[in-house]
Amino acid sequence: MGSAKDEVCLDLQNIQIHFEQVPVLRDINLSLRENEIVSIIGPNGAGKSTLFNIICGLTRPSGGRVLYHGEDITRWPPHRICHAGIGRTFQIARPFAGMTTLENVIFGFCFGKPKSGKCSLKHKEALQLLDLLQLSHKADLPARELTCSELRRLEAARALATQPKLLLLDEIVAGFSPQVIEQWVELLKTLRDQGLTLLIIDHFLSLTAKVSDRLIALHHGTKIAEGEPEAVLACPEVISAYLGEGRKPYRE
Amino acid sequence: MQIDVQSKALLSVRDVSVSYGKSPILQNLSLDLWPRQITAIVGPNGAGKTTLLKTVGGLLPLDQGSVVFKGEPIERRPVWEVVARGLVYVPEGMRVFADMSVVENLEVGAYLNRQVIPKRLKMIFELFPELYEKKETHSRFLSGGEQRMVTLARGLMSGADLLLLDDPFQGLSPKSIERFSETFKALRESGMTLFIAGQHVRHILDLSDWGFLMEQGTITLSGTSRQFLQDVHLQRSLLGSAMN
Repeated sequence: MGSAKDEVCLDLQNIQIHFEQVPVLRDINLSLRENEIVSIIGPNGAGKSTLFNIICGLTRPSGGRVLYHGEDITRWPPHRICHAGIGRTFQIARPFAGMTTLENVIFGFCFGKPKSGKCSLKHKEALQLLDLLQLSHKADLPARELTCSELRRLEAARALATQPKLLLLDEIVAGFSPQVIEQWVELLKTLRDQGLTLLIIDHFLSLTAKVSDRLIALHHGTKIAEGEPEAVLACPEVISAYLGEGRKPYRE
Repeated sequence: MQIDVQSKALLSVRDVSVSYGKSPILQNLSLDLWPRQITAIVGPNGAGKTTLLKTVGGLLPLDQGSVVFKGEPIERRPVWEVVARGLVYVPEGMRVFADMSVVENLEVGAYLNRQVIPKRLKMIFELFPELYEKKETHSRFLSGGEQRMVTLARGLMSGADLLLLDDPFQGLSPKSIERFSETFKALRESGMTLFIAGQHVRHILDLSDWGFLMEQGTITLSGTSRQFLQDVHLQRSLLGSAMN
């Protein structure tokens, strides 16, 4: 028997989807082990966010299965998948605009798990999360008054409030300064140390190549490469489809 | 290369202050943009870059100061008039008309200058064949990155003399960033002036002639892009160890 870390957390089998007869994902197989950090890279429109939508139940695939710890969750509704321990952030932040930053996070705590207990008891935990994401000073402001980068941090706080075991992060550092991205690299490592498994979509190689155990490259809905970051970024198909021929090779 | 004859500046911002409610965002900010140049403005998140671009573009009222474009004050002019004079702001994020097709979104960009539509559409589709493939698709069905491309391409359709680009590379793949960078350089060659704010500091400074660093609502550093990338203050303020 392998250790807990070798256990497969998420297993996508032959995932396919088409929108109006146009194939968006073709036969995607992907396995995530417990406590692993894996990033999905690929050109704009490759199908990355669609794959996230399928994992968290927002979009039904046309074919294939999503297994979470061996259980078939393909047809589960999003709230049930969230309760089972899969959290996610969205590329375009979607807070409750009229609620305060703190209330948005408390909301995640109250509804992210079945029988979460009274919302009024969640203040302390929510404040701790705001602290972790450096948003404490905005706790009492309505979410609509946050800047773009603050909204992204709130998005992460809300997802973490659901106490996920597997967290899907969709372009969480878009629009952040290089220095802030470095802070995120550390934050993601901390989350992994706390036991989380992370699946990341991002175009910043200064984030994905630094934190990921593996990269998976998608192009036109097909997996074109998978493996250690350095190997994937050196793959000719990835260079031609994603990185661009004129680009210097990535160095850490 | 610093040109200090103010009359030659395409855009002059003088002592501009802007606040949201009681919070001051821009404080006595002044800068000039020179024609046929790409100027970068970089700075930490929350420094006020977007506020500056929106103010110049006529989208936000200012408390005091002036914005002079082609020798005439525009700070109290309505947005449509600012656009008609040749100054266009391209917002950050994905701001498409979701129920309109890709090609309709692009056409809107040249609404005040419709005779250029066929020529510019051709240019955009040559540059971005993936948008041509989806030209009849409703924009709501595009991915986030594709919506970002449409937002930028719509700005390029305008044929403006001065384009203000707010974090243009956000959410784009490295390859798309390369293609847009080449496009921006080509637009400069054709006589356009660009003012680019954003967080892809290296990329933006690499293609710029001149750069500004903005911190807490004021300009704290300016210089040629080459000087800029080597400046210790900039490295400390913005780049951390990512510089190495």
